[in-house]
Order: sequence, then C-alpha cells, then structure tokens
Amino acid sequence: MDMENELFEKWKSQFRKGFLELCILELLGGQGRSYGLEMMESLKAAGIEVSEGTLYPLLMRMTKDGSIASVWETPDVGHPRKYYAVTPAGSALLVEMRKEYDRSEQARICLRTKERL
Amino acid sequence: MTRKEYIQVLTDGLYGFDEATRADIILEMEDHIDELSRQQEGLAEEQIIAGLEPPDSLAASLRMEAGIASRPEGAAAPEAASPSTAFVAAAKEEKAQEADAGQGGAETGPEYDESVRGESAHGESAHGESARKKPHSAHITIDGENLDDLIDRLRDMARIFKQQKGSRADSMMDDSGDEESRSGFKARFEYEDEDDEEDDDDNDGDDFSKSFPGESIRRLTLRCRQSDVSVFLSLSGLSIKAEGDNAARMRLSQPDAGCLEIQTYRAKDEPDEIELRIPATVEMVTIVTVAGDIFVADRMGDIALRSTSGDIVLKQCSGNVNVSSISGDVAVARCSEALDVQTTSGTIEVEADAQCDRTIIASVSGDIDFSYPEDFDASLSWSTVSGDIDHDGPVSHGSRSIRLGAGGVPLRLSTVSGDISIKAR
Repeated sequence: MDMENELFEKWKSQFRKGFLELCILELLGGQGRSYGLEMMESLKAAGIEVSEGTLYPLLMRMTKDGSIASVWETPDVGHPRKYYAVTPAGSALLVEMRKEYDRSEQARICLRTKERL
Repeated sequence: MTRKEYIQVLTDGLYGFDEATRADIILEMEDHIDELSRQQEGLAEEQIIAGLEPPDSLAASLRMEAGIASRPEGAAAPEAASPSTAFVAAAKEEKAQEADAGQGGAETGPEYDESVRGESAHGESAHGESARKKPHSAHITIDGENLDDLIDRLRDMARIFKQQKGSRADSMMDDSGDEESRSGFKARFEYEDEDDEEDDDDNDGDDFSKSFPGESIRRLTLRCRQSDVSVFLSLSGLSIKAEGDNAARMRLSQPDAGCLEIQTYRAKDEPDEIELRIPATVEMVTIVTVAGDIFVADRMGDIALRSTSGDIVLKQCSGNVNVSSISGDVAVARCSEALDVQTTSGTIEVEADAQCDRTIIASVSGDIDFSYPEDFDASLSWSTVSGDIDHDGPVSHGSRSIRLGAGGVPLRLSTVSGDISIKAR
C-alpha cells in the first residue's frame, strides 16, 4: 500500500469512528430494532462497509454509554439473538448529532468554496 | 478455520472481560456466524469464517473498547482466564497460570493504554489479511466432546438470561423510594386494605405485621437498605413481620394482581429486621439489599438475592437460586435445584446437595469453598487465574474438570484471584 493510501485509510478510520455512531443511531432510529449482522448488511446496502471488529465494539460502547440498549430474544427454534434499539437518550443524542453534522458539512462546503475563489 | 476454532480463538482473546460479558459476546458471534451460514447455504463453513474479521483482531478491538490492557508480548496463552477452555493440556495450563499470576486479567481498570491503541490500530489496518498469525499454536481439544460444549453453551445462556433478570431488579432498586421518603410518606398500603392495620405516623415503636391469605401473590419483591431479612416457608398464606423502631416504615404496593412489592425508606428509618413467611405458591421471590443480611431457609420456588455488602445464607431450598453480592459473603447449604452464585470479593461457601442441578459459582477475588456429599454425581469443572486450587478428590494434577460418581449435572467454579477448595464431605 502506498503512502497516500495508507494516510487515507488512517484518516478514514478516524473519520468513521464518530460518523458510524451517527449512522447506527440513524439506522436503529429508522428501522426500530435490529441485530448485528442485519445492521452490517443495512450499512453495506447504504454503501458503508464495516467489519465485525468495527461494529461490535462500537455497539458495546454505545450500549455502555446508554444511547442504545440491547435485549436477548430466544426464538422457538434456533439461537438466541441480541437485538439493539435506540434509547430515549440516544434519540436526543441523534438530534444533536444531526445538527452538528449538518453544521460541519456546511462549514466544509463554505471552506471549499473559499478555496476555489 | 472452523467455526469452533474461530469461537475458541475469540474466547481466548477476550481475557479481562467478566464471564457474563464474554459469554454475551460469544453468543452474539455464534448467532452472527449461524445466520451467515443460513444465508449462504452453499458455502463451506471455512469460507464463511474466512469472510469474517479474524477472531484475534475482533477480540483486540473489543478489548480496546472496554479499556482492557493487552497482555505483554510473549506472555503465555490466556486460557486460564477463559471459561470454555477447560480441556487444554495440563502443562500448558500451569504455564498460563504462572504467567497470569500477578497480572490480574479482569482487574485491569479502564485506563487507556497506549500499547492497546497501537495494537488495535494495527488490527484494523490488518483487517482482510486472513493469513494473520494465530496467537496460540497448540490447542489440544478432546474430539467428540460435544457434550461439554453444549453444557458450556447452556450455562452461558442461562447466565445471560439470569443476569438480565438481575439487572432489572437492580434498576428497580435505583429508582426506589427516595422521593417518597423525603416527603415523609409512611407505611401505607396502595391496595384495598380490609384489615385496620395501624399506620398512624406516631407508632413507630410498634412491630409491624401483615398477612395475605391464600394464593393471591405469585411474585414478591423486597427492596431495603440495612434491614436484615429472613425468609421462611409458610404452609398457609404469605406474612410479613417487621421489628425495630421503624417497623412500620415500609411501603407495600401491588403494581399488578399477583405481584407484591415491599419497599423500605431511607436506611436510618428502616426496620431492623424483616421476616417473610412465604408459601410455595409464590413463584418468584426477589430480595435486594445494600448492607442488610439475608437468611433464607426452606424456600420452595425460585429466589433471587442481591446484596452490596450484606451477607447471604441459604439453607435447604428447592427452586432455582440466583445470588449475587459485591463484598458480602455467601453460604449455601443443600439447595436442590439450579444455583448461580456470584460475588466480587465476598467469600462463597457451598455445601452441594446430592439432588442439585446446574451450578455456577464465580467470584473475582473471594475464595470459594465447595463441598459435596459422598454419593454425588456431577461433572465438576473449575478455573482460576491466580488463585490456588485445593482438591482432595480423584483428580490428575493439572486437570480442570473431573467426573464425580456417574457425572451428569454440570458444576462450574471460577475465580480470578480467589482460592478454590473442593472437598468431599
């Protein structure tokens, strides 16, 4: 991997950290509840590929933070499954995150426009 | 890599987590893999596994997120801390225990360790290189021992579901009656009270007594802070007695039919002692206390006990027993169904009953003293990171599981630093 790529990957992983948290809240907020694999697939369908090693630790932290909550459900047949859902605190956080994201995006566009002029 | 190997390496990598969290993660990944296998039916197990994040790097990311420091380079395999690796070779186990001594896997706090950050960044960038080197080279497993896997899995599931029950009880404790107590609210029943029970504000010195005839109550929850609680079997109805200056300072409520909740006020306004006589028709009893002791004898039916520093004693109970305490000591004698005892630093003494069912006894730093009767049939296994093992039974040195009598019922003892003693009576 050349250096440019390496730098990009490094930046991407930094950038993803907060962004993915927002995406998970958006996803769970829209979809109701979901489980790990389903979330990976939804994110992939939306164009964001994440590995288990990124998603599960993040879900663990968000659960600990209290923005999402998890519950085990056992189907009549098969393995128990851990479902995640947004908590009220998570919904409030999502509202703030969206605002911040939009503000940041506008700031970036503003800066880029200046650069071009 | 097979599914089994993946789970094994992941389990090994999750040192530093408490057993329940680790079981939680393993169970979640098992479901993840099973669901993938269902979706991609044509694909071989190995191919599905190859598409996953390598288990060691997944474990490293989870550890970093939980703030668990990584093992130093060259430290021996982490099996000693792992619940599902009871079958590694004896020699390896000893090595692992030596290496673990003094390291205190589960007690590494939430400090953020630079070396962990480094490791994880590496793990992330290395994602996709499926040819990553496995950290442990020689796993010795016993072929065809699926039974033990199954027992492990059941144990993990039971623990998770029980824990969820427990955490609900804890959260109820949190939003408990501080507000009411501030408003000076005294013992008053929130249901239709046909007895003319005195709940005047000024008779605090009187003892308190209340009974519920028949089989109306199915679930009973008691939450208090410093009161000592005793539970006995009643052959007729349910009765509640309290003694002490503030004996009447309890609130009884029935959030729904069949469910009775008893709640005391602030610690200094609590009864000294609360005695519950509970018939077998009450299916579930939950008692949550901070500093009070709990004594239970002859309970028939399920019971869950939580204490912070109070000691807990149970005798001759039949029904599932679930006990957890932080620093309180726990003693359990001759209980005949499933038993789950967990403490952080409290010691645990269990006299197993010949009729006992699935048993899990776990402590972080408390010692475990386990004794069993002569005619005992069970599969007993144990693990400790740095504690000593004292066992007088027929066991080859270094083994971590033995069959007693005809085997069967799974019993697990585990500590991080507490000593474990296993004795026949």
